[in-house]
Amino acid sequence: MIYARRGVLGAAAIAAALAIVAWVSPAPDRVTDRDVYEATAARMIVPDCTDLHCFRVLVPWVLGRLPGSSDLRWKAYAVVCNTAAAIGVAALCPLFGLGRRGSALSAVLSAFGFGSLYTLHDAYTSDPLMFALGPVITLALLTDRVAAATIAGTIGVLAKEFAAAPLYLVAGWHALGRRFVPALRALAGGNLAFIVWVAFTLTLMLKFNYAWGGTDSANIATGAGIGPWLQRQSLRGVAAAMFNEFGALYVLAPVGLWIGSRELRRLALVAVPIAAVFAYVQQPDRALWNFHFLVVPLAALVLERVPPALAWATAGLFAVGNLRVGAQLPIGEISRIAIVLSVALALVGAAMALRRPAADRPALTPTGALA
Amino acid sequence: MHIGKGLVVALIAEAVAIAALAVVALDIVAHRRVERLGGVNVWGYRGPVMRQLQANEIRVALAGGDLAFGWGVAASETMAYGVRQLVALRIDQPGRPLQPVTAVNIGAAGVPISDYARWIDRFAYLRPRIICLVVDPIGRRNTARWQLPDRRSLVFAAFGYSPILPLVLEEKGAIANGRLIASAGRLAAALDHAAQPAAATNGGGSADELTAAVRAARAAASGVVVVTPPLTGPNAAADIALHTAVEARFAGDPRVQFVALGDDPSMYDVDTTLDGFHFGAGGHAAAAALVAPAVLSLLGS
Repeated sequence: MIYARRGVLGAAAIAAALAIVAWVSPAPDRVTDRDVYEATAARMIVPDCTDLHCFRVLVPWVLGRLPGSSDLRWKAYAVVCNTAAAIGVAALCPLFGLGRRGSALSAVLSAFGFGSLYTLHDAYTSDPLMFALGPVITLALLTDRVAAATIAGTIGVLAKEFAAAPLYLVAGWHALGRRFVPALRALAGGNLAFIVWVAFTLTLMLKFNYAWGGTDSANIATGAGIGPWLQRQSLRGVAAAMFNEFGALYVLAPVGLWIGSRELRRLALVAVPIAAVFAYVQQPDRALWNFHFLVVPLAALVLERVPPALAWATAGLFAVGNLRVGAQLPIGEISRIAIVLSVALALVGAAMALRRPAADRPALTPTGALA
Repeated sequence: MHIGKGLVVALIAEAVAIAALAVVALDIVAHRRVERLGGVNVWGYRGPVMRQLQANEIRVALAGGDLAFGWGVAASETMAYGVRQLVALRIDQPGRPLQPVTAVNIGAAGVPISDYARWIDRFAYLRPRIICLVVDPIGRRNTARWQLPDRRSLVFAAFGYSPILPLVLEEKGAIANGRLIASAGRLAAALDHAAQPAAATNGGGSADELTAAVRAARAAASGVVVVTPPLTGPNAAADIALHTAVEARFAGDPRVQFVALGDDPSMYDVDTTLDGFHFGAGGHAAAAALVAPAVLSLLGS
């Protein structure tokens, strides 16, 4: 009861903090996908719509029916979904062998990561819903609620195609563990979501003359999203964008992979080719945050094994750093210092975690579905 | 390990559904590749699928059979687009309200005069303001194995969607000497054609049939330009008689105009056609120059 109350209070605190960040985050100073989403919200179907985002109808269809200004609705949606993502990751953590502190740290790292905070800056995107659906669908599958996961994935693909990915992820993970019946059940769920996505896409194309337009993602043979993205930027720009994606988590997650259970490593291994596909067809610096529900718990496995003060200091500095690179708050110098310190503390934490005796590491077969 | 019967059935059904969707997706991709070249779009007319009609937009459609369709040239080189360009140059003048001019070629290879009316009705939803009806010569026979759009297709008959993957696969197979690809194309065509009869070829063409076509065009658009062909067909006398008869029937209708390509000597230049019948790009441009004044006249009135 106490823990449940703490959980609710924690979620409320995260939501409140995200709402404040969304409120103070400046408006994007470039052309975004806002016009496409607002047109879909207002008209439901926009004949001859020529943009990849025209096909991502679920969020604008729902938000378009709600009262309030456009900015308010979309920012509120980003806050709610990113809070749900944090709760989902926290709920997933016990299955990965994490305790209460690890779960709480995961929730904070997820809520204040780059991907999450960036959607508070530019809320006109389906990404926040995907950030929430990733852990929620995975949790449902790992606790043998395949039907619920399938329904969520099948509806979710109307917002963005990524919603089918967790179903294939868990199918692959089961298959790798030679659990073929659950693997096939998850595969059937993923296939259903995929079929709905393809059928819906083709329907919009044929009935309403929708097209992907000049989007790079559709040009699979010529580099898709990643090719032009690499061409447009300097090597330094690419490195900076990729570093900002996970920051200190780049230090912590590999160590978490090392000290985590075999099943968790398998899950991460299966996620690699799926993440590679999304990184290829989209901008990798944006696409990879979809897998925050795996990367963040891996990092939290490390932070859970170091003194609480060090763990929370690392998480706090990570969050402050992302206020600049994600939410675009004008705190350049503070952000840089926070990022450097968070990486330094992550290195210290990683070293401390690795020096702990093997017997103290999380069990190879933790509780829940991963057991 | 026990896999339930329901799970097996679901996976098989999903595999079938994914395969079917993959075929449709590939067909759409094939259309995108060829619709600007010699092929047709998913709805069976040349060029990309038309966007919704905009306010103030002037849309000119070109209907008819082989001459209108324009075998051997890209969609943008056919008469429809030449007319569009010439009309746009006159319409788009400084100080006048913006009136976008668009063109669509709904001509169908091998369609006989008796089918013109039905074909115009089929594409009336494109809401052209002017329809240019380009008449093929009487006795013109198109014996090509593939006639675009493929009227033998069951899918086309049922849904109006014009499959092109079988043709593309056949041609790819022929070019690359890939028997497997060509066989896949032939198999797909055979499945889609089923027991349909062979495609009709252009036959006679009575005054009543052409009159019906003009009436259909008149119902679908506010103006019609009937374009009669150069007199190079097997029965030029019958062509003249047909056109004269139909022109007489619409003599009192100012919204129907007639342009006789056969009256212009330039249409008989050797360079005008690719093979003695089908216009080359220059032939389409020359014909468009003769048709455009009639279109402008209808727009002006």
